[in-house]
Amino acid sequence: MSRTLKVGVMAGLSFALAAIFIAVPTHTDPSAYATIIKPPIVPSPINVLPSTVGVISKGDVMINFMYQAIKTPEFWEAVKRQSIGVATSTDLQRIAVETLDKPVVPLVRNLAPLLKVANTAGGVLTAYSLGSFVGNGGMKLFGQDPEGAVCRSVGDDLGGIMVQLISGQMCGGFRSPAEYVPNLDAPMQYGSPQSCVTIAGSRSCSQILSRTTLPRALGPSWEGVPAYCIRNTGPNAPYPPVEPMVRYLNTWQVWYNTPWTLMNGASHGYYGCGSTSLSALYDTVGDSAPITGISASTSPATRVDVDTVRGNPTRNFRTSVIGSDGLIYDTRSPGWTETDSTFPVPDFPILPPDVIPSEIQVWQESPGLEPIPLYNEPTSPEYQTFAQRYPLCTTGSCMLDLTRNGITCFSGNSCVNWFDESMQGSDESTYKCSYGGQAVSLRECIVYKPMWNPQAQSQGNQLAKPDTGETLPNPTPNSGKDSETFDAPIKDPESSRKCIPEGWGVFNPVEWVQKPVQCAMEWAFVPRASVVNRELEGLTAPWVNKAPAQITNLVMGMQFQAPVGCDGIRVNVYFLGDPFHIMNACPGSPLAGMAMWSRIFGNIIFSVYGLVAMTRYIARVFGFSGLGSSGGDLD
Amino acid sequence: MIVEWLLALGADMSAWFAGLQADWTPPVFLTEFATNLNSLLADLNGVGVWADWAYILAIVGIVLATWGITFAIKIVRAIASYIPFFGGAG
Repeated sequence: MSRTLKVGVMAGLSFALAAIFIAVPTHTDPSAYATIIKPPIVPSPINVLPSTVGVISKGDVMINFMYQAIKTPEFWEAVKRQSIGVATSTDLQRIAVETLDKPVVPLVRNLAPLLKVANTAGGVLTAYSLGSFVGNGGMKLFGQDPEGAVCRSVGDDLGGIMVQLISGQMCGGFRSPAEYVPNLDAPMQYGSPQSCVTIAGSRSCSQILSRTTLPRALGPSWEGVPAYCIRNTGPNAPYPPVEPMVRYLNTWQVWYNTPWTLMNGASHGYYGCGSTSLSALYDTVGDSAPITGISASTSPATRVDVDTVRGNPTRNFRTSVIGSDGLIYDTRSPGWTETDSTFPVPDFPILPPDVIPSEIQVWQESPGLEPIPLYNEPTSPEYQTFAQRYPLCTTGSCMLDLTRNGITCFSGNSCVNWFDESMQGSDESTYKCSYGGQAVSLRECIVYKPMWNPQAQSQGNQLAKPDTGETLPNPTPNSGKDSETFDAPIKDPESSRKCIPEGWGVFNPVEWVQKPVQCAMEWAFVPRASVVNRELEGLTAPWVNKAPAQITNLVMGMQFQAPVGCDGIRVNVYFLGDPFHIMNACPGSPLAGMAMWSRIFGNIIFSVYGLVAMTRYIARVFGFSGLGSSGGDLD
Repeated sequence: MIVEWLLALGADMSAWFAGLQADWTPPVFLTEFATNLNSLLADLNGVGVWADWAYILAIVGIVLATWGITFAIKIVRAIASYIPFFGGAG
């Protein structure tokens, strides 16, 4: 078996080497080299109307064009002027329009409702996300980029975000806004963290541990009012909310700054939650620091069953598009929960070819809850005009075509000198440009200026900038075999691959040797994201109730933070009455000056300590003893 | 596929190892320790003006990082000493 394998491997290598040596000449003239190994590219039309920069072509070529346009000095000047780093999506869009000098066909009339949505419905969606969503819808409705070429080709840098925005592709899914409280419309669950908030990258959650009712001793109006014992896992946990009204609980509570304790705002004491053991979550609500007249025995807790499903329900985005035929076309996004860090992009339904979307609605749906309307706007007149004029564009079969005497130049018709001939005006009726079957200005076809030029074909530079006619360099540099070999991007492991060449590629040894090998290597070593996610989930689930995870939870629940106050140490002793503070060093107090000197001396002491310790550690690496050492304790 | 297989293998081994251990509920003294520590830290929150805690934490962090780096250098040096004709210990 191993012998057979060896023979097979040797035969494969021999064939590969033979293919390389036969096909690649021995001379090193770069131009001849490139000409020989690079097969001519068969011209093909693009599905973009160049004057409509909002509609970007699939494939890398036009994305390269986008980058070319974006990276002009004028764009960066506009960036500086507009402080784009904090600009909103509408600012970005406007700058794009100004800089690129191209009209954008907006799918909807305005973004104002989107901004409004960002402040409602729990703030689930940000204006930026929705702006991209609209673009994404436009993208799909225009039938562009069905394979996600934009997302595979651009990054999250400013230029990449710009391309995403203009092209309408939202590559990262909806992002959880920086600050929002999820599940405001869901019944509160008990036991496990549900309400979380992320501020400055730090995620804090609130966890309801037990429930009781306030006793009459707090006042007649408080008797029977529900009170909840809540554990916060971080300094920014949603409880207590800014406003006094806790909307889940149908009562109001004021927190004291110590976890586990509730203080009734109308009294002078605290109301303790008692045991914090996870095993005793629902046992008793006691009184670690009782209010006058209150004791643990007077306020037994009510055990509450955990309901994780209702408290954090699965959601869906439902997109309803009302077509020009009056029918409603629905589609739903994959499920997600509001505690996820990202949300899926709402999908768009596929409309029949002759149907134009006239209104777009987006709903957030949850089982057992009322649907929340997120968006409801008619499509813009510009879009309707565009769609009516170019109906083929709504099905993805919208091509920019150049014809010579009524025959397309992409079927072998001789159009080598089409640009010069048309510019000379010798015969203006010879060449026609059309988009989606409709005649457009011949200038729209300027992107095809070098398309049939033999030299441009050999170099792969077959498109021109739509505004200037300047030839665009091929995004895959044809400077040599190395770049062609090593600059090849890693393919999306989720997609099917084409490993064996066909057409002109059969004459290229790179296509026969390097690319199949790369294909196989990627298949073998690049894991699919879905598999990785599944395995990671399987990795953590068995540990949930084990000691390491429990200890980690305990440690994570500890609220380590540097002291920041000035009112000193709080002394809370039962028989001494109300808590009081010692070592108060707030401005104006007698100890304020002493605290200042304490800081100075503390800094000096720790500076000296740090200097001595570091020099010792470093010196011992080289056999010395460091500052302040006798040298006898080298390790 | 190979990496996926390795991931699955690692996940299975992790699950198997986790299955060897019984479920564990933290004892009361441990959870109360965390609670008491939080309570203590909250009580001490008012001593912020008595020291530049951020500065002190930075100094301690730098010292620990220095120790870690120099310790790693020593480890590497010790291992390298066993390389024949190179380290000098063999």
